[in-house]
Amino acid sequence: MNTEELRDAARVAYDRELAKQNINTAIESRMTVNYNGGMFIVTQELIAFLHAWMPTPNLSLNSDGKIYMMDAYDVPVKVLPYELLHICQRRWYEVMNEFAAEYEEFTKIRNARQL
Amino acid sequence: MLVNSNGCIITAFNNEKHDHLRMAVQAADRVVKHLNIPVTIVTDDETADVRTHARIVAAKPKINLRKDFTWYNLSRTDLYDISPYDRTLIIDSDYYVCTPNLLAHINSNADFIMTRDVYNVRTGKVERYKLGNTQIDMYWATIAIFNKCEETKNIFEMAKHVQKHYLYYSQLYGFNRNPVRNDYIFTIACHLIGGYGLKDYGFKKYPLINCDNFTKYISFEDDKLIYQYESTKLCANKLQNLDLHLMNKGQL
Repeated sequence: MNTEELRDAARVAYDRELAKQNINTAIESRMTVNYNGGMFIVTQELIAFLHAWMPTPNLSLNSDGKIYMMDAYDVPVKVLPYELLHICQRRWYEVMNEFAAEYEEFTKIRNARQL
Repeated sequence: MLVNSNGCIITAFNNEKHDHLRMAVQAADRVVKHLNIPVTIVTDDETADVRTHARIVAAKPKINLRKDFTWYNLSRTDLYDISPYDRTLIIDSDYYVCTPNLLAHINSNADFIMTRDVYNVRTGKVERYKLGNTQIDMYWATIAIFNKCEETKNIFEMAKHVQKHYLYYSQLYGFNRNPVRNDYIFTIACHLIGGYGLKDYGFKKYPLINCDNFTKYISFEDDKLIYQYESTKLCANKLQNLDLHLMNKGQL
């Protein structure tokens, strides 16, 4: 390193908010699942909806338990709610566990040299 | 054509400044590693080593002059006809796939998708650029996924038309006519074919991570990029578990 590079290395700052946002963006990009040819974004709302779905008796007489849902690209996809719920929950576990681990690492970084 | 097949296409035409073929082979290795789909490199070089990847030899596109080098980028509109796959992923040779995140989009049913949202690595905000003097959201041709179908064919045919009459469209939409950019060509094609902006062709939850000339790459190891940038002061940060568009060719 020459003097200028050394000086730059010494004065370089670390933006913690940006670092957090970088992690969030990575996590969000991973929160997707494929089901029956569609792509769904795993959100708390989707999980809650799938969990709460309970067809009324009249509905269930004529159906196989499957419903149509719009996927992330507005394509209707035939879905068995509990099956999709299981896939979404699994992805949620995987991604959020990774997020927790990354977040822990993030909290230890105090300056740019620790990156 | 390979039936029911997914695959990736990367174009690589070397110029006096950049070895695009070498970059394309590296990008192709990453696609195979993280997405496990075959890659075809479209190039004018019949002999160079492309390792285990397939090669389609094509004529060098028309010259497109940038400030300090020649840019052979004008074959993007031919890729619908060239692609041997049913469902094709297109990426630039400077796009570093570091995660399997694209797989969910490849395995979806969307007939044509292209990146539109851009993650700003200096502010942490997701942004949408506008086309020229208009309020039309700009698409980035850096990444696209398409099926062989009527709609996609129309988009590519329209893109060819826009490319052919680029001067006219640059005046109509109010953007610089030089250099010719695929981003603008496909933005206009999507705008026109999608009912003048009614249809959304953007990727969902997959912003383009543009590491442009406002960032300086310090290191890139194990798919982790450490970079510096000027904010109110000189700052450094890292990007990990993200696919990266490393636009500063030659810095790595």
